[in-house]
Amino acid sequence: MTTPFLAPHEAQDQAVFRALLRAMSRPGQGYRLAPSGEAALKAIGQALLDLETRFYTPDPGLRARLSQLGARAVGPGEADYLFFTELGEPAWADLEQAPIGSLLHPEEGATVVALSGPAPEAVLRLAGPGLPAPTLFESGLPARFWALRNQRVRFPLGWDVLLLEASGLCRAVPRSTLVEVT
Amino acid sequence: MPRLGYSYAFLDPGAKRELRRSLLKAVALPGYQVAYASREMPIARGWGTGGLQVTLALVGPEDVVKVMDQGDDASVNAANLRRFIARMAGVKTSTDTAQATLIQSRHRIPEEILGPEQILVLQVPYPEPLARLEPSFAKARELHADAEYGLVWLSLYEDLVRYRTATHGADYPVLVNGRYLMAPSPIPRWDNPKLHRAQHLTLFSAGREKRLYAVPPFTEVRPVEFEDVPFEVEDQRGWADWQTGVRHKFMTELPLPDGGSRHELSDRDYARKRAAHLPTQPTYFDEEGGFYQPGYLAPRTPPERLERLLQGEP
Amino acid sequence: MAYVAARGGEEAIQQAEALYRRLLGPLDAGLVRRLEQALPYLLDRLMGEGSLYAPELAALALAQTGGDLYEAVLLLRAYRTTLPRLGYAEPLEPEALLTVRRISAAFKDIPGGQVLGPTLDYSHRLLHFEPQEAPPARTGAEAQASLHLPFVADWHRQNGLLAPRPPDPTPGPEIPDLTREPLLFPAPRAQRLQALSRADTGGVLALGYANMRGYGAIHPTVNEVRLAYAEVRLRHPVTGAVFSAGRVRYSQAEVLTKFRPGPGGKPALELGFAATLGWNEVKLIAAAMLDAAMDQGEPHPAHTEEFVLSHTEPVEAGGFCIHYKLPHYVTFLSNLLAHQGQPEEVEDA
Repeated sequence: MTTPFLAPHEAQDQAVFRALLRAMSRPGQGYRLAPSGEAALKAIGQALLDLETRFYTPDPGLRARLSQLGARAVGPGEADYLFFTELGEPAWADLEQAPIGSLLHPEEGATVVALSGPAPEAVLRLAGPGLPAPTLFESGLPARFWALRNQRVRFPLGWDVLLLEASGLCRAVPRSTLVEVT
Repeated sequence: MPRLGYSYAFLDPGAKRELRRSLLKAVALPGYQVAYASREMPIARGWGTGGLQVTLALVGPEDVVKVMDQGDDASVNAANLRRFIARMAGVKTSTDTAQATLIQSRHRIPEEILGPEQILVLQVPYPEPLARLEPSFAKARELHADAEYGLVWLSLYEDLVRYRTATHGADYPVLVNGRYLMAPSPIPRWDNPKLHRAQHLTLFSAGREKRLYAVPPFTEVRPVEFEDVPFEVEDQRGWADWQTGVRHKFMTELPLPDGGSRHELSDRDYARKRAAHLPTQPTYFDEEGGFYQPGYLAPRTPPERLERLLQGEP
Repeated sequence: MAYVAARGGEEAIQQAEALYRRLLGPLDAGLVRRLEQALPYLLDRLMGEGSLYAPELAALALAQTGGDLYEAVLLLRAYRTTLPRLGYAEPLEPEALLTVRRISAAFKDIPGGQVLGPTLDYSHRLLHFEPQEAPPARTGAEAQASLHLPFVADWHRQNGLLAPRPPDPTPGPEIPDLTREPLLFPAPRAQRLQALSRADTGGVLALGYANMRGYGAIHPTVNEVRLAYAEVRLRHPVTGAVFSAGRVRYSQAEVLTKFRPGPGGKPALELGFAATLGWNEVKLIAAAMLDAAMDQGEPHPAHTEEFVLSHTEPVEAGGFCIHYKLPHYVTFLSNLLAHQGQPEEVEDA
């Protein structure tokens, strides 16, 4: 029997997933996704979303594209995945509502995927699982975002963050990470 | 009419996505058991279908896969799983721990220190560390929610009072990241310390019980123990491999017709390299039995001291 | 880079499988067809537990495993799990069922009548040592039973003895699917019924029988047992029209508990229900009783959803049972050393 065929989109999903798994395992470290920018948001959507998932994004174009994957577009309070092409004033209220899971089912806490700005906006000190020692990290997301994140995270409750940089690097900050805004 | 042919890596894309979503959550919640649908596999349930699903959700054409059972790549079920993964994903396989990018294992962690880019997938029969004390998973879930683990320490204390030793052999429970009690799968206690602040990612999956969980790299993993009666690994200090003379690695015991026994390295590929004087990677336990993270394993409690402690004397 | 190949194990498992196949003899389309014709009830049981309605594949699974049922169920399940979901069927109403057997123990006569249909219930269980011709079809019956028979429970509902039927769920992803989402307890009723539907016949019988013998307090009455051909009706994705995609053998059972104080203090009955692909009366009666028992919240294991559903899953129970054949020498040694305390020096090489 010959090996089943690996379709190009499946190959991309596998590569994206492995990069996300690496990123989630090593908070703050950058891992390259083949596509960058908005295409990377879409690639993450394609790798993770289907009929069984709910997502939210304030961006109408992205919403239309992610809906094509069969995922259900819902409000920010019900979404498993929240996608932001930019994090400005309107996003704070959305993030306030993002699910943080329950003590019985903390995995129901959402995943927040956001494009990160080109310039460093906040310096963070990260510690916790995945980090051999506390590490400084220059984030392209504003300090306000991280303050909100810290407010919502009470491990094991909270949401997990995937940041996409213009360079095509993806970095993760799971809820298990202690984030200090310096 | 029936469809011929299968998806790449057997699982259909929907099944892979569900596993991948669950795996990412598991890494964000070290030690927490994420429930997943767990598809039937063309391998009997209880024969590594959980580990297999995780391996198949991870695997890509660039991977090199190693599968072992009890430390042995030639074990029949390991051979069967490896054959299936290679057939469905077209990947290279190797028995050499150092060459593998993905290692699926039952009951052992290799002796050689795994590198940061390697991923270890452990097959799990009983994911629930509280099952001995609370058979209902629904009730155990509530205990995890409240981090209500007093029963586990109580049971260890009762063991010490009754038997003067912890009677829990393999699958010795650990506390992960100071929060979740976790079954490390039935690895010997010898392998437990290897999970603590390891460089590599370890994924655990129980197909029949439909739970998967993770220990990310550099994560605190502590055995259930008392400060004054620390956790102990199996005492094989006097044992040596009958072929190579190597000591201070996990051994299996082989009975002999005369009623005696001899000992053999359980990690067979490591044994192969040692026997052939091939280069090996650094190991978790050195040639004198010292663990590579000094101070993690405390000295064993002498029986007289345990006796005094149980009498309430300092 | 050269990769180190494993030796030993692979050759052994290939030879072991080859020996099994050699002892089983040749497998061809004719054998599969004969099994399909000769063993419909065995195929039904297999398709129910495999949750895959495909008589020709069930016959193939039987042929390929020499009739080892747990292996055959696993073959069907492992195949089923690779199939895409193409749509959601409409709920089954009596008018979509061509009922060939429907009996009730609760009443002497029921709307539509007691229809015995095909059964061995009243046969003498004697081995026939002579060849048997199939009896000729009977013609000229005075009155023909209707094929569309109402559910007996609907009569109780009309009379206020049972709670009204909950509204039919909209076919689609809102119905939790046991094969796509993990089963957690307490389970949604849809998942509970799905689990019973594909549960192991023997396992359900054992726990159901424990319940009937007194490890339980429901003293049920069989309200109906029904064997039917069901139309699998789908909604056309474009036109919205409902059409039949084919017929499957289908069976269901209803049991009633004894009267209990219902809402408002009025005595009411509760309904236990089970349904499955294929015709399998023993499993359904036991499963419907377990369904009713699980709502009673009494401490016996056969009353507990988690206990019943976890332990009657044929692929998991069968697979785990035989997994004990796998080597366990690492765990065995670890436990041995834990109990020996400080082992003495055995040897020094």
